[in-house]
Amino acid sequence: MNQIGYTALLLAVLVSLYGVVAPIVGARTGRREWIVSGERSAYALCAVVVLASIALMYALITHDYSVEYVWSYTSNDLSWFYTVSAFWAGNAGSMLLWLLIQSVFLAVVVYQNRRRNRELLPYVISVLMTIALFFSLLLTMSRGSNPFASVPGGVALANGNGLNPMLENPGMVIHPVTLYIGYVGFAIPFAFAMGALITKRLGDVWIRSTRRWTVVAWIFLTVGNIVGAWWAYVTLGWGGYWAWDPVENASFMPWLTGTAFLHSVMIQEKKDMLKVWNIVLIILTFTLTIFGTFLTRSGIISSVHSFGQSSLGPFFLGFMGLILVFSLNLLFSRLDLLKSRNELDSFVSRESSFLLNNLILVGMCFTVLWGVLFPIISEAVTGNKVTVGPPFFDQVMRPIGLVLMFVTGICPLIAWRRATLANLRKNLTYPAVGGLVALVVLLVLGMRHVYALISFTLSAFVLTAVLLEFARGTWVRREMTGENVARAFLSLVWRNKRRYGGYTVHVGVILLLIGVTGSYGFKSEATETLTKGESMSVGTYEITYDSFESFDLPEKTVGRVTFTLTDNGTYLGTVAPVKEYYFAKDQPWTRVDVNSNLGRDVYVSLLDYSAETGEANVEVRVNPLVAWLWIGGIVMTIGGIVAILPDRRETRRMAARYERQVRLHEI
Amino acid sequence: MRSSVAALLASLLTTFVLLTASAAAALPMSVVSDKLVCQCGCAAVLTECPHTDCGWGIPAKQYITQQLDAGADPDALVQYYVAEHGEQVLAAPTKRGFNIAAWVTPFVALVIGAVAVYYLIGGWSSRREASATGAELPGAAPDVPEQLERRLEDELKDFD
Repeated sequence: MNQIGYTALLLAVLVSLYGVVAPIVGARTGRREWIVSGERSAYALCAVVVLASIALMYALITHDYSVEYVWSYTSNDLSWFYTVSAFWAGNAGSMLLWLLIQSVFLAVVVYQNRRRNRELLPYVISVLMTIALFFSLLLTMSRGSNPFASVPGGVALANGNGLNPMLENPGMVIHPVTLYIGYVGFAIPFAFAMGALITKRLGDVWIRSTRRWTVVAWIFLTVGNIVGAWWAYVTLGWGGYWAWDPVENASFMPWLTGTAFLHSVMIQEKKDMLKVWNIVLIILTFTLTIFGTFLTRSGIISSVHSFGQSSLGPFFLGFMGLILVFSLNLLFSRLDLLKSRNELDSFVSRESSFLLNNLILVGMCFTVLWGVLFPIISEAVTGNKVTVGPPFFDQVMRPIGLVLMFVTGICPLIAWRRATLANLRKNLTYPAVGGLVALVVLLVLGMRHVYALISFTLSAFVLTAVLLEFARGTWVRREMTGENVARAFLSLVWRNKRRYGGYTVHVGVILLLIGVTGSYGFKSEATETLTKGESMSVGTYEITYDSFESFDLPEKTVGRVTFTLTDNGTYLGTVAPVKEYYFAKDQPWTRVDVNSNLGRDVYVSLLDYSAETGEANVEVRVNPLVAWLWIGGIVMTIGGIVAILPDRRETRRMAARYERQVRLHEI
Repeated sequence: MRSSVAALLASLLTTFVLLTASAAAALPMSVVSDKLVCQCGCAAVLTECPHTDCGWGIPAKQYITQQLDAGADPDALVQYYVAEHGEQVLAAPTKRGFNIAAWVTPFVALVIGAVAVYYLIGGWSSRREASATGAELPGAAPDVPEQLERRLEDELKDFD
């Protein structure tokens, strides 16, 4: 089976190489059979990569320790669930996962466009095949990146090395897959943009054809980042969820530029403006997805996420360079054709607020990139490699983030084309009142933390603004149709999925930021050593040591201490943090226990214990509002899904516009 | 239903109390450990080192806690570690010399971007005014009828 897998990967190299060339030959010579053959190569690539993936999965499930990858990341005692997730636990498997997603997406794109975008498609296939070729070459060119490489000596061992305990968490099963779907998803609009540049069909058809792909990629990138944060929170034991680690930053940057892209394409759709900017944004977003993959494999920057001892960095760097040179060169060669009739009806309009939103999002991306690269720049200039960690990002990103919150609130309130003073007054009054009420309440309650005050005030402002938009729309619809409130609300959203899906995403962003503000600004903690019957407290919360148990499992020793948790004397339940010791890996690990509600998390971690005396070193953290971070992520995801639900009116508009642009091009 | 609303209100009230009360609560160890990078090779901030048996981080955290309990100045403790390990032990660049570039550049870039966007919007909106004025010249396109203007507005709304 391993031979079949490796052969399938070699075939993937050949098929993708053919897929790069055949459609281009067909498009350039006008020979349809080459184009059709190129399209079929997409399905063939999908088939061979799926076969290779099945082969690896089979090796994992059957614990075939003659395969080095299987030996490295699984063991006999690993549960079925985590054995499956070991597919992407290492460098080679994660690259195969990328190639798998890429080839499936490519096949779907070809199928979706079997009757439309016929002029763009050969180039789209060729671009996506180039990316597939790069990954399939990496998977076959060296032993370290070949998932089917045999163990040294070729003799299968009785047991494997086992999965890193850090990865034995549902979050780590979901996080890489969703992140990769997001990364690869952005390759689709990128490929269409390149196709549009090559064929000189520079209207908005490429944007409209890939809108769903873009939103899907954005949703998955959002989910990937949030699930990654959740995993860090429940697994790493330090009570936080975002450490501004270079690799976390690497997945945050394409999210920022992708979000900017999602907004700015609306201007092109409506006003036929920002054509160059949109192409720049999608080039940036896609390049940043490769940059993230490069960071984890280059060893250029220290990170807890890096894959150890990988020599693939230079290849990723070269590929990034190739993407940038090719796409920017193509862009510059088409600048004349991309000239828009850039006109705005007024200085203050929804269009100009979108430009401000793009400035902030791209500015945030630049700040993060600057922080990631500054250690290298500093070392080159001064000879000293400084660290750029959370204190830097917290200080620099906080004010920019607050401006983004304000823009998030104000954008939907400004009319398209021209905002009048009366219009602004009408739309801004109630949200401003909402924000002010929140500010006064918080001040009266004694809050004096300046950033938190601004953040919560802006949150109230934005939430009032968005909820009023929903309320107004529902009320108008109810008046028009006589429907009850629930039905009027649902049909309002159903008939304007894109608009209200977008507003829902904004609500999610604000809920997430409320969680961030609460948990960063007001956390409290204490560490103590306790024995049975003793208590410790943090604020009004108290834990009391109830019992201790220690037992051995085949792969580890487990120590668990159970505490009673009370708040001002009121019983809340028990918390039972665990500390484990993995024999094979000679590695201790903690599993925290969290008592959570909408107001706060009581986060308990067992730092150490004595099996003889039962004495336990315990850390207790109270993190306010963390639950809203996860709720915000869920709301953002729901909003994104609503925005891409099938819309008949949108489909009709798209078809009409496509026909129009095809006619124009023919003229 | 009523009980879940009550539970929600109770938890929100607790949160308000937490947010206002704990604002003043000190975070003794993290006041220092948030500013230092763990030297075990994990590249994480000392507070966030994921290694539960960290040979450098755990003694350092204990030392910091002891020193703070004994009344040591947090900045002096940070400087102690800088003297021991150099500036690379700091979790953020200092605000001196070349490192100032780290702090200033993002804001400079944003200001430059803001100025560019300001002039861009100004230029685009004045171009519109110029073309609107041009519409009144002989031979220019006639005014858009009010009915079409309204239809355009409706269609733009649909695009949201």
